[in-house]
Amino acid sequence: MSSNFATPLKLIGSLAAAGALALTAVAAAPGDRYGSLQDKDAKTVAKVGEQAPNFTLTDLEGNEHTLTDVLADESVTAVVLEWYNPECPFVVKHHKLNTTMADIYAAHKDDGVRWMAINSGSPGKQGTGMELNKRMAKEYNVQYPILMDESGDVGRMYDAKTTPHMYVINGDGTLVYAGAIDDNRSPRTLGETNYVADALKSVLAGESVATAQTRAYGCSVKY
Amino acid sequence: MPIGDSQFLPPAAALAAALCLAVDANAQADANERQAQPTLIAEHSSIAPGSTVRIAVDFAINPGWHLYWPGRNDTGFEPQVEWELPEGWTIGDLHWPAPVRYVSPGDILDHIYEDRLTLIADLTAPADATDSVDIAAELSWLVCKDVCIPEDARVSMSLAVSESSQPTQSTAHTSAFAAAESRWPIAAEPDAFTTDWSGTTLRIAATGDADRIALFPHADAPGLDNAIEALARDGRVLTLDFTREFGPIRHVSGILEITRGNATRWIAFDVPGPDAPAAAPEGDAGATR
Repeated sequence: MSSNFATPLKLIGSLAAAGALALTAVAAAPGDRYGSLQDKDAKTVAKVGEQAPNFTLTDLEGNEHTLTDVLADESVTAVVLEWYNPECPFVVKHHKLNTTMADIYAAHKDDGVRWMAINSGSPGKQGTGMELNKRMAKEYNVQYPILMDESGDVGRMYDAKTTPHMYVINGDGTLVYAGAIDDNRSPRTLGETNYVADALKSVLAGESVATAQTRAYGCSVKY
Repeated sequence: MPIGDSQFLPPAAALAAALCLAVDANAQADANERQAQPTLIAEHSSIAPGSTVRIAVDFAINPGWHLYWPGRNDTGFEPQVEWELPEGWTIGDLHWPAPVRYVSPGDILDHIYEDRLTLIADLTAPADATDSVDIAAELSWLVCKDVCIPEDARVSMSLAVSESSQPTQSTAHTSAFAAAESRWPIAAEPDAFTTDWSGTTLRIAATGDADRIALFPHADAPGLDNAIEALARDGRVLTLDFTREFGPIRHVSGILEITRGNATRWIAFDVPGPDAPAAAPEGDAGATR
């Protein structure tokens, strides 16, 4: 696959945005009825149809993962980002009650699909902490890296609102899908349409993704 | 989309329903663990054959926790109710009171209920009803504060069937019905607000003074830029920049909340959008459009 990913200029822009965000993002008290836009100065970078913003995050084993490095590998056809909180009931739905994520990954990992879970929970909140995440990764038998984003910067850069919140990036580094994993908002019952599986099939077939954007569902990301 | 499909309804359930004491004892045990505790209540203590009485699923919600309105939310989902009615009995749609806006860190916008949620529906008896009736419902819901928990319960109640034309009010629940009804969205008076489209931008202006105006969009509302900032403003005007990212802008519906001093009104809101199908022309009048 071509690796015509972000130009250096664009990358710098993305990283600068992430930096600015860290300075300006003020967490309002949860339940602020009419809270103004808390992240007003940190406009979301990720947009479907555009270059996926770059990031570098560290996994549970201490390995760094940089999106552009992953995409630089000619054998990589797509990257899936999965916003993740192991204690959220909707993550439990897809990692324990069902094996949604594991099944799609297993079906396509030999097709050059890479998958990364990202935990943007703020330290001390639900689903955070290295020990808990290592233990749950083992319990769920997660076969791909789980990246820790304790500052929430990468989550905000992608406008990740829920766990799970799913993103599919094609081999060129273009964000081709953002939204829900499937079309059933229940914490138990799977949907009839799995948007991520469909998006991957389209990407692998060299076709455009029919449903490129849906509303995600799940728990709020615990920023 | 029912989510209670994996519900356990043991064969003994029907028997247990008849033994009200046993059901109550179970409910009591579970109540200690649930963050939202539902009961089934009726506005009257009896129902006449062929008549209609309001009943409700009444959730008592623990402090700090919330349930969800069935509209536009970034997270969560509304309580699911599956009624179990004897043959010939019918029940109408649930009435959802106006929710409150709830913004979490990360620009996460939800519309929620705190403390108490009373979902009222009209129960109608068949003309040949006699004695008493047992009404039950399988419930499942998501209750959240900083964490979310899926909960479920089966609730039931017994209602006497009586020819009496003046059923006795069960005063214990009257306030719950009144409080819920006071937050039902009302049909808009023609002059309550004005709307104007400019391209994909919708301007909503309350008529007269307002301290605060907010729109709680329905789930099928089109995509919106800067949703959190735009959907609730001081003053009387909302300016909403819709996008076609999630599809065409056929209409915008929801609940319009207008606050003036201590008074708040909730108005049922539904206006056609720029992508609405053209209205069918009525005779020659259509030619002038």
